[in-house]
Amino acid sequence: MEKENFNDELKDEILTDAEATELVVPEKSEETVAVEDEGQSDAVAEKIDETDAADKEAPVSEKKPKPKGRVIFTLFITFFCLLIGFLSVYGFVTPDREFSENESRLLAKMPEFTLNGVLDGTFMKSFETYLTDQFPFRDEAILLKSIMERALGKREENGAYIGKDGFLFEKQTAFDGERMKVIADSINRFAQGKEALNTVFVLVPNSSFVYSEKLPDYLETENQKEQIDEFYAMLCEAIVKTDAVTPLLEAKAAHQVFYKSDHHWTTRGAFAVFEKIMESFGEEIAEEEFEFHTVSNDFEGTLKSKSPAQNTADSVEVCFPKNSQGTYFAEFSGEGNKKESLFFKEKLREKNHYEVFLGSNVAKVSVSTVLEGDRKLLVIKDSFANCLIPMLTPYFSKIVVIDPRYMTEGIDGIMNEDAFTDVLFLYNANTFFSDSVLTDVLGRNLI
Amino acid sequence: MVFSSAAFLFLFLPVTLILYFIRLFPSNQARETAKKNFVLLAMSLVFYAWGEPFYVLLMALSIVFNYFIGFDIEYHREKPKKMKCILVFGIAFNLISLGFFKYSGFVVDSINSFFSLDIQFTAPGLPVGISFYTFQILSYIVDVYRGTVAQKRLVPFAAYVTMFPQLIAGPIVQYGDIEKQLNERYISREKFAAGIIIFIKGMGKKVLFANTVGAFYTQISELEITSVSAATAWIGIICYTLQIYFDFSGYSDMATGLGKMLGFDFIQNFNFPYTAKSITDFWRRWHISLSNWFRDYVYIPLGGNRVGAVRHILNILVVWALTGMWHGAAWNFIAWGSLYGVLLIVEKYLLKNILPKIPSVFRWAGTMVVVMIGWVLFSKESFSEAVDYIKAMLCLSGNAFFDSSAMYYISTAGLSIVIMSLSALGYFAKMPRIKNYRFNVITTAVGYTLVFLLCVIYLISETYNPFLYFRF
Amino acid sequence: MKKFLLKLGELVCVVLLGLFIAYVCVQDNVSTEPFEKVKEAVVSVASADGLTERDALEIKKKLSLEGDEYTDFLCLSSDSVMDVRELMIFKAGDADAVRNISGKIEAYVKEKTAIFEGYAPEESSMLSAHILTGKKGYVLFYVGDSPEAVAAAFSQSL
Repeated sequence: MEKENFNDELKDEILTDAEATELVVPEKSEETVAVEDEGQSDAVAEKIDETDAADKEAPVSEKKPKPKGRVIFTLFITFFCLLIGFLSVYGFVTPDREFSENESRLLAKMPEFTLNGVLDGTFMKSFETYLTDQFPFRDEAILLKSIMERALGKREENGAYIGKDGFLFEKQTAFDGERMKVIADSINRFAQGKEALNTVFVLVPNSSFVYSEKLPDYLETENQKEQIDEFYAMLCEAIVKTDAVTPLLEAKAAHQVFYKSDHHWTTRGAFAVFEKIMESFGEEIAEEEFEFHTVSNDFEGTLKSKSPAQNTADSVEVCFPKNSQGTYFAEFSGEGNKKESLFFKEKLREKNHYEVFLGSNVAKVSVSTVLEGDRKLLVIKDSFANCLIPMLTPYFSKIVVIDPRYMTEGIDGIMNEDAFTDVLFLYNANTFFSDSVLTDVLGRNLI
Repeated sequence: MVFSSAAFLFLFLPVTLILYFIRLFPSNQARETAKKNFVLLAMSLVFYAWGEPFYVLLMALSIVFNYFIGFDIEYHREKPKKMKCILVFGIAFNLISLGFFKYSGFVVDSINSFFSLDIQFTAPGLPVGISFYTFQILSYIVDVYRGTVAQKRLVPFAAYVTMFPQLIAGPIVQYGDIEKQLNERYISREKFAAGIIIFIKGMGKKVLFANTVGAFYTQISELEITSVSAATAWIGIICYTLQIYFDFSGYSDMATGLGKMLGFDFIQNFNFPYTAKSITDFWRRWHISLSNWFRDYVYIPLGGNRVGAVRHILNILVVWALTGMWHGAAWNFIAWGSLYGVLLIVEKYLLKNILPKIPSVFRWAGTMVVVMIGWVLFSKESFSEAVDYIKAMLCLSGNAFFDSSAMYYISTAGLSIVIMSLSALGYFAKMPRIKNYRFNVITTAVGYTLVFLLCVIYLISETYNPFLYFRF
Repeated sequence: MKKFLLKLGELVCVVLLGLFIAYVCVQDNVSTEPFEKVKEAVVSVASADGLTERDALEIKKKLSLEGDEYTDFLCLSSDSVMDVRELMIFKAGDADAVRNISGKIEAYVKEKTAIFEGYAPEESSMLSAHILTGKKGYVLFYVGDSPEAVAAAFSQSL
């Protein structure tokens, strides 16, 4: 028989010492006080508290003070049990989700139950991943956590930095001199074999350099301009190196040159560098010949997915030469038909509005314009060039755009298809510094 | 299985509690308790097998063997010599088992490097919790030998060894402390509510505190050590200090809370260790159940402090080297433990008269510095890494004292660190409360429910959820 | 009588412990099965249609793995960059070699996953479900359909 002094249980949590001495529960009978079971009421019968019933029957007297707050304990326990029960049952009953838009990945499915899987523990691990992935209110939970951590001062989330004025930044890729040398060598080899080609190389700095004043306080980042210059020095004389840093820094006073919620540059930023690129190709461009249209005001890009609590959205503009309706048609690898536009309006109804430019990343786009003349351009790029391609259409009769990351064939096949006169390499620093496919596509170095 | 996971909270725990509390024998208390013990044993085996489907057999084997040993010792109570032999036999079995599955790789590696050999040996994977349950079993057979306890039935004994609240990460429960509760226990709703509250408190410590500050420590530890400023290094180790405390004490709280829900009272395993004002005091507050175990089963049998000074010092060194070794199969753990052994000896013999004269603030600061340097040793994989880190902390590796990166960490982690430090030092616990009982109960209930929801939120979105003490 | 049973029980437990330890010791001994057998067992279960066999130079480029770090190998991968299915089997020798190869494959998979993350959810999901195991002197790496079946076939063939 035990003297229940519930003050001992909870003294530290809720009672002052004075209170603790006041309340002494009298000796009870040996019945174990029943506890209400978990909220799955259809499965389990509720138990009645016998001592409470006995208490009610016994006469109330001074010597037997009833413990205060008993009801609240019962309520608390019931509530806790119901909460767990609710989440369990709700999670069990709701159908599994397949894809998470926010995280841009497939969510785990219920793993197969195999004897082997149980014996070596892999089933259990997969099952736990499955439970976490399919937990009810997952997206809301991630958002709440993001908000809380930011309130506490955290400025880095899933590889994105949370900057000021709604800016989000991608982490900078480290610059590995040796690795860059290998890539530079392969580009040099490519250019040297083809003296007739104008080869222009553009390396675009990232938002974290151009908008470094918006980075979270005290965060140290590398100087991308120095890194870009270091790479340019590795390229041979024959290649024209375009400075993308200066135009961007100059243009940002008038326009936003990078998206706040995405790692790409805006169309305005692309245009600023476009002028410099065309200079490298020996052409002067006139701004009045181009028009800009806003096609979206609520673009939430890749960086926003990493940091959902950041309150930020961007407008997306498209830029194309005036009077350019019907002046070109484009063939996309993977799709048979020819399109009359390089813009994919239907992407504006999906999550990633940046895909309005050239659709999702494809290996090859072939643009044939109505322009006479034999200037033919080969563009070797990453996704940054997508919004810039439409601006090139007045200057070349054919533009072939390739993204080496998604290519299945080597470059020689493409070079043989057309007699190119110009080649443009257009990359952003972060993607370029971590590139691992360009060397292969350009032709393996034959040491 | 880990307590802070969806599988445990929303599948295992509800099922276990339902099975545990369903009344099969409403009028027979003893049978009801036996049924509870059986459910506890069965579900604990499931709990263990969930993480270790193969090594659950090893644990079952240990239990059966030591159960036999218990009887054997009891039967030879008249013949002390024989009884001792049986005890030694039992201890040997347990130590060989623990030694092989935990230390064999370490031993072979050390032999290889010491004698320049190249013995090929793939160390077995460490079965989770083996250090904890082996120590509990050892405490049982030694106590049977000493005549202080006896358990004739297999189920309560097995339930004691396997009970899932403390199986994976303690506290180490000595059989004597729990014997009575195994045979009869009452679970009032207050006790159950207290269990829930303590469990949520532990989960909050682990999920909200430890994981957060641990992420900062990981970031800092990945930086190139030669370029890290002293301030950043200190911030890093403060993060680790907080992480390991909230991680481990959080887990102990969760164990205690679950135990209470099932009707068991475990001893307190942590008592605000970072308020300690001497190393001796620190170890009376940190991982108390382990120190108690070593005191009762190694230190006192070796003679404790009732022997000459030389032997006493030796006893302390042995106990602490073993304590270090218990924490991990690597030389830096043994060094960590031995370091504390030496410091304790220094405090006992050299500083005994000096310490009380030093103002308590300095004693506290000194203790904390020692503890943090100890954690550097504890956290790094190799001596050289630990030494490099300490050099960086002391500004000896040619690094700056303070730099912009340190400022970045202060601005992003600072608030979290301050809140957690205040909590670790006990300021929130000692806050004056409004003297209205009902108000207190309501705010406690609401507050802890919110903490629980917050933990669940963090758990769902957390990819980083390690438990540092899981090497045991 | 009871004492005899106890002694017997204890003896059985000791023997079982010995067996446990012995099993753990030998379970990772280098397998004596011929490479061909392992290869066949795995390939028959893997979804390897349309994959081309690669040579040692490819291995060297992909994983920075020299020819003397393994005794035998099979590498199948697709010509298309977007097809992430891949199968690699190495016969390595001892535990150190197994660890070495596994480490390099891990780094390779990490890089590959980073390329596809955020762009191609199907591919990155298949990549994250990859199998990489080192056992009895063999290393298996597989990205593709039904990874559990392939892992099981691999274990059984050893």
